[in-house]
Amino acid sequence: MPPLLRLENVSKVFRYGFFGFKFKAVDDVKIVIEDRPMIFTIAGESGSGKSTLAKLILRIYRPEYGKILFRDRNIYEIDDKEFRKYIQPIMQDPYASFNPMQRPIRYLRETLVNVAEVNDEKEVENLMDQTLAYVGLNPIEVKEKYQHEFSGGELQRLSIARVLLANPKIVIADEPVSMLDASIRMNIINLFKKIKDDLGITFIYITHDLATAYYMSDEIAIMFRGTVVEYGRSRSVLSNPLHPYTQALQESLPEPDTKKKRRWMEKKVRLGEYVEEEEFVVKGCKYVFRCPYAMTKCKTTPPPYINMNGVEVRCWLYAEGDG
Amino acid sequence: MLVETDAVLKAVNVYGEYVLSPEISIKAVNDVSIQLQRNEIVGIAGESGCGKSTLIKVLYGFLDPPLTARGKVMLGVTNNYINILSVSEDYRRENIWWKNISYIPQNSMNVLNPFMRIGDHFSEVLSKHLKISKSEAYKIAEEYIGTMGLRKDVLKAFPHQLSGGMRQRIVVALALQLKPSIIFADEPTTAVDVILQKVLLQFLTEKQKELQNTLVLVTHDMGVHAMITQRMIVMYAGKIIEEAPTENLFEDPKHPYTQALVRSLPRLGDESPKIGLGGVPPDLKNPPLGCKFHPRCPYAADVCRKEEPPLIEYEKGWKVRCVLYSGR
Repeated sequence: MPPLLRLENVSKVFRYGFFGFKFKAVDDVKIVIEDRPMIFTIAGESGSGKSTLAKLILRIYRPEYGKILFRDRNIYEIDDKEFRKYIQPIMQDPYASFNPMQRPIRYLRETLVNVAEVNDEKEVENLMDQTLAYVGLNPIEVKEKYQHEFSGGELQRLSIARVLLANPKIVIADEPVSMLDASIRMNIINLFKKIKDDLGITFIYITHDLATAYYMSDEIAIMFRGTVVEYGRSRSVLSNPLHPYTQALQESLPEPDTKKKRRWMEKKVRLGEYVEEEEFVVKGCKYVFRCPYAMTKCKTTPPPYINMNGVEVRCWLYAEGDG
Repeated sequence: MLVETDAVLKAVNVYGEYVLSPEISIKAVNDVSIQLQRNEIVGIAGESGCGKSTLIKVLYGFLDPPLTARGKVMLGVTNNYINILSVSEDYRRENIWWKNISYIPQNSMNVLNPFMRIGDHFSEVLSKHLKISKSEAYKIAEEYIGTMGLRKDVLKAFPHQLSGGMRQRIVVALALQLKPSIIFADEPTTAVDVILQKVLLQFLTEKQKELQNTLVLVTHDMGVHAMITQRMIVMYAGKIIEEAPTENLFEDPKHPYTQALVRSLPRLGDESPKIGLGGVPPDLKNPPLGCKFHPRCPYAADVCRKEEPPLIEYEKGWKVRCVLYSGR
């Protein structure tokens, strides 16, 4: 079976200003997502290119280099109508996802008619009622309400219901819970897990929050300045990180556990001298300015993807022979 | 008034209200009393809209309309207490802010004046408060910046020439330069990545240790509370619902809301299923009768719907606002 989604050396170039300070927001990304239900997390800080990568997969941006293949077909060879059936987004801001002038239910109905191509009116209503109940909303109440009458958590459930009505293979969720309060957040995350198990949908979860990523995802890719520095099973990547950047992330993460306080306070972070712009344009490894193990080779040659027991890591430390 | 123990600030029955129109007002802070001790790190936690930011604005005395405040905020100044809310804003500006209390706002990396060099930010505050000339102030600033572990040449830079993390450290350095006895920091590290966050938090706590003053940290990030604070105040719908040493609060939370909040937090290496809380926080324009949490509370009884429970002392230094503990 071909993989569900394959990114082959994908790069996206952005330009700053008229005379063109060019940099790669996404740089030579290679990811394979197998065709089985899973939650695949793309994690990184702001400016790591994770949202740009999501937009590339959604065809909002076109990559300058490389290919994105959905079941071995280039996504640009799939026509719009078909593409929408395969890949659907859930956005970060629940308040901006729906038109405030119309009832959100209309958007759900349109999705059913236009994307899922269900034309029988009775079936449309039936499917909507079922799906709304499935995501934990009351169908009768939802139909009467406007966007401003819903809470953030409810709107995010509505976005999920809309996506389910389209019945896609892949759902791309860009920071879907970052605007929700901690106490509500877990309910939405549990809903994602349930949908994955019940309906076999693959989620691409984009986040900066490593704790929720650990909780929900099967596989994870860590991004830094446009490159994937490490990817593989999330348990392994987040418990025993290989790349120096992932290690620094894991050590810096403040955890809601007072037993870890002492270790966290004692372990100081080394923050090298660096300029953000330089990190984007450096030829070799982007992490070289901050890395405690930096070698001369790191600055000049980008490290290859190296497989370490199933985890792909881009770091010269793990290169054999001349490492 | 007698000075008891080591309290640097005592707030008694403080209200913070946003008056939007004669009919509509939002009680963001509703009858809060707290004490801050010398040399401690206090965390204020809660979800968005619980009033945690408004509370520190009131304690700081920064009352921008439509925010109005009532109650007493007694600040300890050399064997005496001043009520911050009863003095004029000019007085606060000249005698309290920067000198006694500093405030690090949200988005602290973006609060520096883009047209002013970093050094001028420092010398302006110094020359105003110490009544010295700008050039003298600049010299003091140069010395000071070195003691903060920053390079002297940042003083010549404009804010845009520095990275976000550096700007945040500058803002912290600015807030600390007159050695205030209290620092309020409102979500100082949101919108920063976790590595920079750690650098900044460690910087803040190191300086707190040196100055032996009081740091009040407001954030919704429970991880930050667990790593930094010694004592925590949890707010819900404008009220304090639990106040406890941080360790106790994480290990054995008492209030049903704190319990739900702490138990819903995912951690690295923890695979047990986590459950969130149903419902939404109440609308503060029209809050529910009785306990503000009762519509979401799994233990809600009749009495909770009718009467607001008082803040009960569960143990020394541990207070809970819940009828579950009133029978003790």
